[in-house]
Amino acid sequence: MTRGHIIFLLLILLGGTFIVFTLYKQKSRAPLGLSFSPVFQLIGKSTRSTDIAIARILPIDQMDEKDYGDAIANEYLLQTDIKDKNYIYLNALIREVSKFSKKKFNYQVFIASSPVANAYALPGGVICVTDRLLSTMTSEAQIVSILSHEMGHIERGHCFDAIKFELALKKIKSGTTGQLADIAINCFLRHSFSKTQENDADEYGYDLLVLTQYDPMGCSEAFKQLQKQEFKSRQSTIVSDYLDTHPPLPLRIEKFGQNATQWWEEHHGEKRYVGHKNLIDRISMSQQAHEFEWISDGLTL
Amino acid sequence: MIVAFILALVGNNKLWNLSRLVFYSLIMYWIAAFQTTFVTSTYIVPSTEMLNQPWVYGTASVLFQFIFLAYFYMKCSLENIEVPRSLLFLNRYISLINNKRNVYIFYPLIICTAVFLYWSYDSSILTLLWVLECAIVFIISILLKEQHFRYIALGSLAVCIIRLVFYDMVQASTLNRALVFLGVGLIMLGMNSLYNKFKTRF
Repeated sequence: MTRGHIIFLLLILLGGTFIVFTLYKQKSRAPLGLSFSPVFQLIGKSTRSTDIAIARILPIDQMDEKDYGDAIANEYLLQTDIKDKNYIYLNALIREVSKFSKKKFNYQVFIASSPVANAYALPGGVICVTDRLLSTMTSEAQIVSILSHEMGHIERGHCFDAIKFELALKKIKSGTTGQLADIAINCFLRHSFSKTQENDADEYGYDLLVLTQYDPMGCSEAFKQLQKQEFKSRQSTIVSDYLDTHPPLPLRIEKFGQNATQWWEEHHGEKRYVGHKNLIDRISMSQQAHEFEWISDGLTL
Repeated sequence: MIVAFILALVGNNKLWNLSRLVFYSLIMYWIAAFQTTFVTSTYIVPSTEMLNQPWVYGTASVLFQFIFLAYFYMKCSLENIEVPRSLLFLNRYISLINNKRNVYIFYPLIICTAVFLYWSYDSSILTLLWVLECAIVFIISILLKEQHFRYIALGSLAVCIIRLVFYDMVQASTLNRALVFLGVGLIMLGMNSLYNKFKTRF
């Protein structure tokens, strides 16, 4: 070994020792003990980048996705009671939030009946929310953060990537072959980057929530409400961490809780809306804002 | 790109005797070019602030890659690279790249930049940006005294002019058309004067 190699090795060892010592002194406590999820998120970035590159090369664009989404929305509309209070409420919220969207989609929210609090995004601007989710969340800011997260999936092209081959091959009348290709890729590769995509959508959702007038802490609070639904305590193993489609909720709660706390520290005096009563009454802030729902520095005024 | 720079600097330093890092820096540079073009250009952020827009830091990344390219061309060599025994298979690829060094280090960035511009910028100024890139490739051909860069630059310029006449004339607004035509004209005049001045290099 040359002198240069030895010095290089010593620098790495010293740097690592310094990091460990600093963490020990700060008594850092991870919210979830040992978890491989952040590692899988990082590894998933390369697979995700390749998936994005393939989607860019294919001769399909936003308008193809819009047409696809409009077709899905029309199907859902046939089964939706458009006078339903929840439907009207959620679409009023998405209309406000989608003002920040960069894609020219007609964002719509539909309600699915399910005993599990969940939401999912479909290509072309369609978002589905279960009725259980509305009863699980406790404020309008939390609902908006969920809708922003789902918008993140659409804006960042996650839904589009899942159907890219179907859209591409439909142009040459081979849509079914494309569907099979999408299913195969999703089966084999989805687990490798689903957490990366969820983290991507989380970050988009948080950034979007900050742009609105809602409390940034709504993101972390929404995850806390969802965590209450997880009945069994999570045992983290490398296999379960790989197969999970989402990053662990404790990590998401801590990350966006810290982001929101930092945001409040940097924005003294600014007012943000929470909307507990708005959610109960199913009347959005844009239609009726209550003075007592505004908070400043993270505290009620 | 920062990692590529650090690897190139450390690999170049004879004191450290880690010459293979120069090759690794080239790989990092290719990955950065790919990432900027295919991932950064498609990234959507909800913010409308200028500094948060992907095209801004994508453009900064492209400029950074050009700086790295200049540094790599002037200071780094792929000859006499020492690899450990377990990585001896890399020697074949290193010598392959070294045989056509300029092709492997310039063309990835040139192609990725053209595609990045296409996906990031509005079509009304795209022709102007592409012509600017053609001018840069033309200057590279003068500096390196290699004909193929000149042919690529002139061929791409011809394509841009066809696009200018048949696409921009129809699609763009009057002001945009005027600005793009003026810009392209000035760049072509500049290329012509450079050619006249450095004719003997070709």
